[in-house]
Amino acid sequence: MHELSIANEIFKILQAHAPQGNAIAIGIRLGAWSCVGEQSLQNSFRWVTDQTPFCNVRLDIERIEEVWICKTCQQSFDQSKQSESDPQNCPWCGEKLELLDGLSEMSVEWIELLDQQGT
Amino acid sequence: MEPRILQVRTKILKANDTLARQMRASFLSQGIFVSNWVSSPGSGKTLWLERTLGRMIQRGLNVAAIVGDLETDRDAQRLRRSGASVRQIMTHGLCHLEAEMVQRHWNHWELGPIDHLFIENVGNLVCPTSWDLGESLRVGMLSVTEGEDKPLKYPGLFNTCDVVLLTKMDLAEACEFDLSSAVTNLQTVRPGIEVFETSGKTLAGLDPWIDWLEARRKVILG
Ligand SMILES: Nc1nc2c(ncn2[C@@H]2O[C@H](COP(=O)(O)OP(=O)(O)OP(=O)(O)O)[C@@H](O)[C@H]2O)c(=O)[nH]1
Ligand SMILES: [Mg+2]
Repeated sequence: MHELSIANEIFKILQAHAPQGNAIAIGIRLGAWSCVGEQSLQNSFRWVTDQTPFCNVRLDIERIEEVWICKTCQQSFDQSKQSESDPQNCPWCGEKLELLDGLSEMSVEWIELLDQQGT
Repeated sequence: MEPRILQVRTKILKANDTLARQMRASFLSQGIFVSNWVSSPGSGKTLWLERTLGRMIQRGLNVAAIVGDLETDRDAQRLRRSGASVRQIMTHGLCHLEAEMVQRHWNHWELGPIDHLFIENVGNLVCPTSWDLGESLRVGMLSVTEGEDKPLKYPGLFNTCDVVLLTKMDLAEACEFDLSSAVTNLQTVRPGIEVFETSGKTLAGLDPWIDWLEARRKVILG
C-alpha cells in the first residue's frame, strides 16, 4: 500500500499551497510505469484528508501513456498501436522500438483554489 | 468566491528525493558506496547479500547492511553470519523503505569507515520503485523460478535498476529458464542494463560480481 504514502505527500503539498484550506481540486500526473493504483490512491487520499479542511478536494489523475518510438520511421506508437505478436518492434519497418522517457513521473501539476473576491 | 488555477508542477515525492540527494552526497563524501537491492519476496536477496558481505570481508573491505522487512529480524540475523554490522528496519506493514527510515538508522549507528553500505529493500516488485534511498546503485534481482517475463510485467521497477542479477541459476535447468529471453526482456525495459548470472548455493558468479561492484565504486567515488 505505497499509495497511502503517496497520498500523504500529496496532502502535504496541498496544505503548503492552500494553507487556508480553500482548495477545490488538485491535479496530478502519473507516468505509465509509476506503479500507482488509481483507485487505491483515490481511497488513500480520501482517508488522509478525512476530517480536515481538504476532505472535499477532488483528486484529478492524468495518466501518461506508454509511448514507444521507432527511430527509423520517426514514428511514435502507444501501446494499442503495437503489434500484439511482436510488441517490441516497429509495426511498419520491424526495427526495435525504444521507450520514451518520463514513464515513472509522479507530479502535482495544479491546485484549483477558491479565492475570496478581490483577494 | 472565484475559482482559480494555481500552477504547482512539483514532484509528489520531492521531500524524499531531496533528502535522498543529501544522503547520497553525504555518503559519497565519506567514501561510502550505497546500493539498494530490490526484488520480489524470496528471490534470493538475503542469501546473495550474505555471500557478498562474506567475500568482501575476506577481501579486506569494510561493509555494512540495512535490511527492511515488514516483520521479524530474521534477515538481519542471517546477514550477521557474514561478520558484517547489520541493522534491521521493521516497517510493520509498509511495503517499501523510504529515505527517512534509512537516515534514522544510519544516524544512530556507530560504525568505523565503510566502503559499501548495502540496503536490502522489502521484497516487492512494485512499491519500492519510486523511493530513492540515497543509493548510488540500484540492484534488481530476478530468480529463475519467477519466470523470464517478470521484467515485462513489472517494467517500472526493472526500469529503475542499474544492474540485474539473475539468481538461483543452479535451478535454471529444472525450471526450463530461458536465459536469452530473460535478458531480452530486461533490455527492453532498461536498454543497456548489466546482467549477472548468480547462484547463492554454488557461489557461481560471486567473484565477477564483486569485481564489478568494486570497479563501480571506484568509478563513482573517483
Ligand atoms: N537453489 C537456490 N536457492 C536459493 C538461492 N538463493 C536463495 N535461495 C533460497 O530461496 C529462499 C529465499 O531466499 P532469500 O535469500 O531469503 O530471499 P529474499 O529475496 O531475501 O526474500 P525476502 O527478504 O523475503 O524478500 C531461501 O530458501 C534460500 O535458501 C539460490 O541461488 N539457489
Ligand atoms: Mg531477505
